[in-house]
Amino acid sequence: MNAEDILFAMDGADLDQVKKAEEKRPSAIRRILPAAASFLLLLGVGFMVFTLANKRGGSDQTGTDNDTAAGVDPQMNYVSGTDNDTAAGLDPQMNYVSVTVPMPVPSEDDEVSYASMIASFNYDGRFYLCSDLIAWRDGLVGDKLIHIKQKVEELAKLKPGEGYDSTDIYALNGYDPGLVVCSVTEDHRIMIFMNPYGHTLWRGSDLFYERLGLTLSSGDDPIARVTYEDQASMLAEGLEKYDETAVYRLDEEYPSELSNFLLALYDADCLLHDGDLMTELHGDGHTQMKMTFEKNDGMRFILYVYDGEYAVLKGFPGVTFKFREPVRVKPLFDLMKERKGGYLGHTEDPRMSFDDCRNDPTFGAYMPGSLPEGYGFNYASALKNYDTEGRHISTKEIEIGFIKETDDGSADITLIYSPKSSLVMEWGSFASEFKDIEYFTEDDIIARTEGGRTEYYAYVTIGNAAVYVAISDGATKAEVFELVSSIGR
Amino acid sequence: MDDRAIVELYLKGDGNAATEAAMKKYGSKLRRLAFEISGDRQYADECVQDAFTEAWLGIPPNKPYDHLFPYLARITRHVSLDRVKSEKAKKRSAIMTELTKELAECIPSGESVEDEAAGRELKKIINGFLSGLAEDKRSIFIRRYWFFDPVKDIAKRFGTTQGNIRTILFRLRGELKEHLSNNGYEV
Repeated sequence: MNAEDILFAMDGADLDQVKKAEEKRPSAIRRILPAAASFLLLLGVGFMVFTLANKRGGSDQTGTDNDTAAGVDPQMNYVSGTDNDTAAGLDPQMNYVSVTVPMPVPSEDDEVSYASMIASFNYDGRFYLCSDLIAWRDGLVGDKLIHIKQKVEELAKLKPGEGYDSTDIYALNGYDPGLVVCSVTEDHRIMIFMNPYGHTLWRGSDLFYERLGLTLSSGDDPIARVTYEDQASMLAEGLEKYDETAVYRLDEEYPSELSNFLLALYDADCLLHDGDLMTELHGDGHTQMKMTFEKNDGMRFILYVYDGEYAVLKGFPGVTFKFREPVRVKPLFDLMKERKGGYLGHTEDPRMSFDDCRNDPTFGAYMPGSLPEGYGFNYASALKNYDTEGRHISTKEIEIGFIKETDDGSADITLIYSPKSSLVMEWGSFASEFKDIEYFTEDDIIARTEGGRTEYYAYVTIGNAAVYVAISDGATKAEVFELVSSIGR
Repeated sequence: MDDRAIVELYLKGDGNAATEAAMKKYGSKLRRLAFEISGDRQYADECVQDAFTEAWLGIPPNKPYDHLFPYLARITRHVSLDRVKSEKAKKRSAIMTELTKELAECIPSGESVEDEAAGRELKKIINGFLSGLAEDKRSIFIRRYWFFDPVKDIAKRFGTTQGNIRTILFRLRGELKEHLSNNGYEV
């Protein structure tokens, strides 16, 4: 034997070990810190997707005939190192068990199901669900893949080319369109869609490293910023108590802990979605963190981490990642529990004047041009998005109230403004209740009578904005129509 | 295109499309590996071409859904080393010479292992050695003696100094010597 023989014999190294050596990255993050836009997220969608996975039975019904018919291998629970592997000449040394996320199963009735509540479509036999809405970034949106036609239908019954809306779907440069694609909203933002079905994963790196590029590479530094918020903050956001929300930044102060976390994520085992487990993890006595990874290319991925032991990627609910080495996650998880890191300011501005509203960069152009007789401005508040330097870059929501003194008290009309794309994100095809203001008539106003009082509601879209009458207390239908009709005029 | 789709193309018999996709995705990395071994760009290109042909023939029965790159790299490495060996040292890169010298520090020169069964046994023993190492050390060893990476590149990859990497490699070579000795090799 000589030295050259050793070099030849290195061929015997397990491919899994070789793959790991290929993946290994330095522990320090290099910091390239563009002023990435800081959009807070719409919390509910991730959980809605969880619910869907459960309700549609997708993840729980593995290995069915439907899976086979859909051209996807049924869940194999394939343990490596079997005779087949040996016979094939491969010795992958897998200590991992693969999972294949089953395709969604159509219900047997004709009822429109929960699935239609989430923006979704069928592209080339794959089902995509809306997972995020991000700021525009030059170079991120790639070639057009397909134009989908609107079809109100449950997810699994959508045919190729059918979806939540009539819109173009594009590739995302640098990402596999079999996993993630996008559409472009009218307000020039990027709506991300993920196909969480049919993928076979062995471990975390298959998704996070190989396909999403969440790496701390010394070469191209793909991660620009990592932030988190804890359960209390998420809950506050859900309850619209924005002054109690708190987002913290991790990558600047804790690169080493973050690096170890990512490496542990790569090594995590993949488990098929287990409703009981998720219910338990969302219950009392468990700690949940929402981590947001913003990449230099403009993409953003959100990871929910439970107790430092499990993680789920938003938009990919069929798989739960179980950390093999929670001890590598603990330092970062403990930091998050203590709310360590750079604090990013909350977004509420409760004291806006009517002029402030008119000058708002997102919704200013869509304020009412005139008010019904006797009405005046009462109050306005806004949820604003700031960048890391504290600059107001856009507005998430404005609530503006108008009031008229009457003989028996007052009459109020309150308008809520939000980006039109948020409607689709939050309510899917039910956003169709909103009507373009050009076609809005008095007949589109909805009346609801309760306790002898009648309230009126209206839903319109104009430009990039969706506006609705949230409260009309004591106002007449004609007054509501007059106010709404003057929006943007 | 993701690895699974490429492997599926191979399995469906569309080797041309699969090769094209795999070449596009991994060609440059494989050429670099072949070049590190041979030190000759033309040889490297030929080795990579040969490797893709072998891969085509090997899928099926192999289905490297999860290891397409290591799978292709192993073939490329093997093809390149074989060519270097058959050229009787006429084509040999500086790094190949350097690595042989490094290993010779702890593996005294002896008769080459020509017997196929003995070669398989040695591979098994080497694999056993690698499996017993901590992950970081194993990866460093593999980067050096599997991928033929220069020490400075390994240091950069692992975020440490070249001196540290050299020390780790020196110790690992010592451990390898002991492992071989424990498995009946006279070293």
